Amino acid sequence: MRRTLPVAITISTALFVLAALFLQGQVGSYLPYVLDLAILLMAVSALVALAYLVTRQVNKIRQNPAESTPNMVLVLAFSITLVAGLVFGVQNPAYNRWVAAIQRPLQSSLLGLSALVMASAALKLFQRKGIDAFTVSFGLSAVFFLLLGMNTSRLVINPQLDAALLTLSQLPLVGARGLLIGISLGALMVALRIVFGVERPFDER
Amino acid sequence: MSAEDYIICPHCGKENLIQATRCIYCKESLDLIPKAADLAASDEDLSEMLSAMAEEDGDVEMAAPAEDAGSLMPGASNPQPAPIDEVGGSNEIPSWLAHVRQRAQTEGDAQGLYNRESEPNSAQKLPGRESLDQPFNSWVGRIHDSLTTSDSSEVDMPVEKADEMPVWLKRVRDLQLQPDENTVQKPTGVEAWKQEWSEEDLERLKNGEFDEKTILQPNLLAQASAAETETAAEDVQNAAEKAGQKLAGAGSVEDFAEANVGASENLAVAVGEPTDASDAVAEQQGVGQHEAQAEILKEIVTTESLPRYKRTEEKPRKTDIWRWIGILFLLAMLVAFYLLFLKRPAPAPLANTAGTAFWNRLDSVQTSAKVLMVLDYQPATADEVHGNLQPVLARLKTQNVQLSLVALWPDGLWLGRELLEATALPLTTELNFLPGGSLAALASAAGLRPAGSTPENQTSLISNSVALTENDLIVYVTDNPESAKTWLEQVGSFLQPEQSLVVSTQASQVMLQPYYESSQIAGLSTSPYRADGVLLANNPTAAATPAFEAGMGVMAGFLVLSFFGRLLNTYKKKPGEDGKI
Amino acid sequence: MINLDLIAGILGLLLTIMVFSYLAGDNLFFRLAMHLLIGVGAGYAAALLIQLVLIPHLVQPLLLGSGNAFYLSLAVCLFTLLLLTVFLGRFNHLARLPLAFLIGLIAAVSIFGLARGTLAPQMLAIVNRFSPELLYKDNLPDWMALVKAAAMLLGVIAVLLYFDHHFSRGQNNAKLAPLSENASGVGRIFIGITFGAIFAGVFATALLALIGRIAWIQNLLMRWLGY
Repeated sequence: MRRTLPVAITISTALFVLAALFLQGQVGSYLPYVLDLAILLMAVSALVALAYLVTRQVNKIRQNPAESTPNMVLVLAFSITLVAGLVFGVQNPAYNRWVAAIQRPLQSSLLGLSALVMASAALKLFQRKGIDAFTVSFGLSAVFFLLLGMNTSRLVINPQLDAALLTLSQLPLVGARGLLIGISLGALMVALRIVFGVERPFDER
Repeated sequence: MSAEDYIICPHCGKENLIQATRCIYCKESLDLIPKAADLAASDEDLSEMLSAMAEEDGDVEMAAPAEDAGSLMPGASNPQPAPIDEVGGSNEIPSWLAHVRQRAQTEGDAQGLYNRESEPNSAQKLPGRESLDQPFNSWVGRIHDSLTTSDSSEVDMPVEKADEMPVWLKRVRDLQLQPDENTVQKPTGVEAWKQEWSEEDLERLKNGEFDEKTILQPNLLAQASAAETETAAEDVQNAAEKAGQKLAGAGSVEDFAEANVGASENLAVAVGEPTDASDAVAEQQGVGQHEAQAEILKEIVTTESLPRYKRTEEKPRKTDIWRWIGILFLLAMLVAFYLLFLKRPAPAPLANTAGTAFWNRLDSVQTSAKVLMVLDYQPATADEVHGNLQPVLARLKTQNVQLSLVALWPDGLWLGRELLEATALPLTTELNFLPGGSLAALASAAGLRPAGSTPENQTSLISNSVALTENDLIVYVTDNPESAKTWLEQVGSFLQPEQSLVVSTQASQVMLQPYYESSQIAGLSTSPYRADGVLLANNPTAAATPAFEAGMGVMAGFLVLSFFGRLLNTYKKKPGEDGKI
Repeated sequence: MINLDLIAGILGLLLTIMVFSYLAGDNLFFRLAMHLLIGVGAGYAAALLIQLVLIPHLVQPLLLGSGNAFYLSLAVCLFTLLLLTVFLGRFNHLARLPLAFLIGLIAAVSIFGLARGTLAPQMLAIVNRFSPELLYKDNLPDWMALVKAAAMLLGVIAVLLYFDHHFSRGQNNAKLAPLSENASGVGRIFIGITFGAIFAGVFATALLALIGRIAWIQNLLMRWLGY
């Protein structure tokens, strides 16, 4: 019973949603309720996860207060942001500015930092991965599209050259399409296995 | 034990338990049929026995013993006609058989072989064989008996009582613990005391005037163990010398282990077990000495068995100088290009069909049309996304459309507000948060109205908070191709292609292009340029800036450098970081 | 009067420097910046979920609502209680029930979306390239279009063969027929080309973020210095 009931719930929910989406009709009118139930459940789960995160940080501070300065900063920032949001409202302009003043510089800087890291990694690409069909095609394609992104590379305007460049720029479409189909097929298999009860991600074992 | 409970080994003639399959003395197989080599030495007995068997049972025809002493089995299936015995005549029993019979009658069937029933073996049981088995077994038993009794110094088999040690065990112990004939048997127990203690000492002992441990023991130890310890010490010394030689010669861990084991075995043998001859005190002294020797050996083994680690000098870690050079070079190029070529006009970019289609669709939007902009990007890419979105919003503003914004991420609320401020759109523009992402818009996109809800009295659900199908154009803004894929799969499949436009970053261009090519969306914009090369956004982060071009060029240069560096290593036959040449 | 813009500017500058200090190696400032990012993001998300999701769609219908919204809220409360049993040792198997519901729903939506939103349109797009309207130009066969269509079809097949080869080799160390082996090698090249293009795009986005940060710092300093 312990193991069959969750499987039964999974299968019945999946069949109901598929019937509502494909057939619609009377069944489809109950789909919004099911979706709302799922969304609210996910929101509650997200809150529980955030509470768990903060609890773990507090435990770390209790265990080792001397080396927990970053953890204290996290807990403090979380508390202040949460309380201010509940008091002033999350759509308050001053509150939004406070959040933006912290989030935007940090996230943009992180992404900018990754550009420098990618540049240094590019220097060692072939040293680490060697020279084979994959790495050569990767390198050639990357160089081509990097130069194409530089408008300086188009100092010579020639229709035939443009046509050739356009054709070459369509080459990644082949791989992208293959990747999309391949990944979708794999994901579809996993989803079907879940619907048929073969795969049980929620099981303990 | 009775005669039936043990059997005689055909090789050494010793007694073994009846269940045994191998002799405990000589380790040979306990086969009732003796080897031919053994019987070759007793030709006389054999011939006599055969003739005796022939005499006993005239119908039995036995094969004559072969000169090469082959198998005694007279043929598996066909008993050969017995040759005429030269001694006993054609019909007379051979003398050796008679001798066997006579002995069997006089001495009794000790082994029970004479009267022993043959083992039922259906595979080999042949008609007429039963009459051969019993006498055959009996004379074989007689042969064994004769061999046994001739070697044994004990004439009579001791009669075992139930509570005494089995005879065979006694014999085993006797074999192992044979006392040397030349050793003097030391008196044990009371006799030893009587010899060592005088009457006066006994009186003093009775009165409690003696401390046995301090006074008596050394004398007794010295006397009682004198003979044994001398020999033991010699053995220990020899073994230690051998161990030392082995240890010194051990060149590897395996040799050392082997030598160590061998040394300890030698010492264990040399130390030996306390014999019955030594008394308790001598045994204690001997054990103490052995313990001391064992301690010494243990110490030797411990010190020698410590792993010999070579102290490796820590090599100084090479600083990644090339990484720093690359980073500094990139930054320098960025600054240089930015300062030197700030005001240079950028050439037109390569024509992008998806981008062209995007702007064509945007230009075709009717005045006062309902346009929904779905914001699904992170603050990290806000610079690029806002640079791509600003010309779109400016165009929509000129068309006087009814614009509403929906954020799928929490950060979308304040990002949307920034966007409205940057494009000078009225801040009263509707900006909502839609939790659940594509899932929340799914029912609305499918046109599913909640049960029990009417247009006049709508049930307030998340799923029907956004009326997607009522919009003429839906512009989906994202920086993540996976999010775009999910949106296009779940929501976009219900929308008309001309209803959907996507604004994204250059990182998502490749993975979103197939959706445009398959006509699932009307257009895709990933740059602030129009197809005719007009820069639509006056934005320092726009792709036309020299800093951007410099950075792209430097990265391309790094890739080329890396490739030729590896080629050079291959030419010099130097392995790369992956270990391959 | 405190200039909030100035404070925001100083804060942004400090945070940017703290993040870029990672170039010198992992240090306390970088870790402080990361923890601050997580703390503020988590706090903002929690405040938003409580204020804009749970209170209007869960608490209010439960307290004031009636009809379907009320029963929906009741169901959510029940599922939430079941979910919270994960912290109870003895009854934690009950937490599987709401998870099973979520997994079933997501699986069904995925099946629908994948089949209708990606697989069918992408495969149709490959096939439609062979349609006569595209292969003929001015009543003459457009060989270039035919070559492109054939290249697309064969390329996609080669990529899918590479996927299959990669997974089957990983599991069984199976050897394929030479034709399949060569085709999967061609597929690998196409994937390399695609990844190279994606790499260029990702670097472009990251570079733009870097330039944006440097430009923002430049603008801030220019403003402070009065330029």
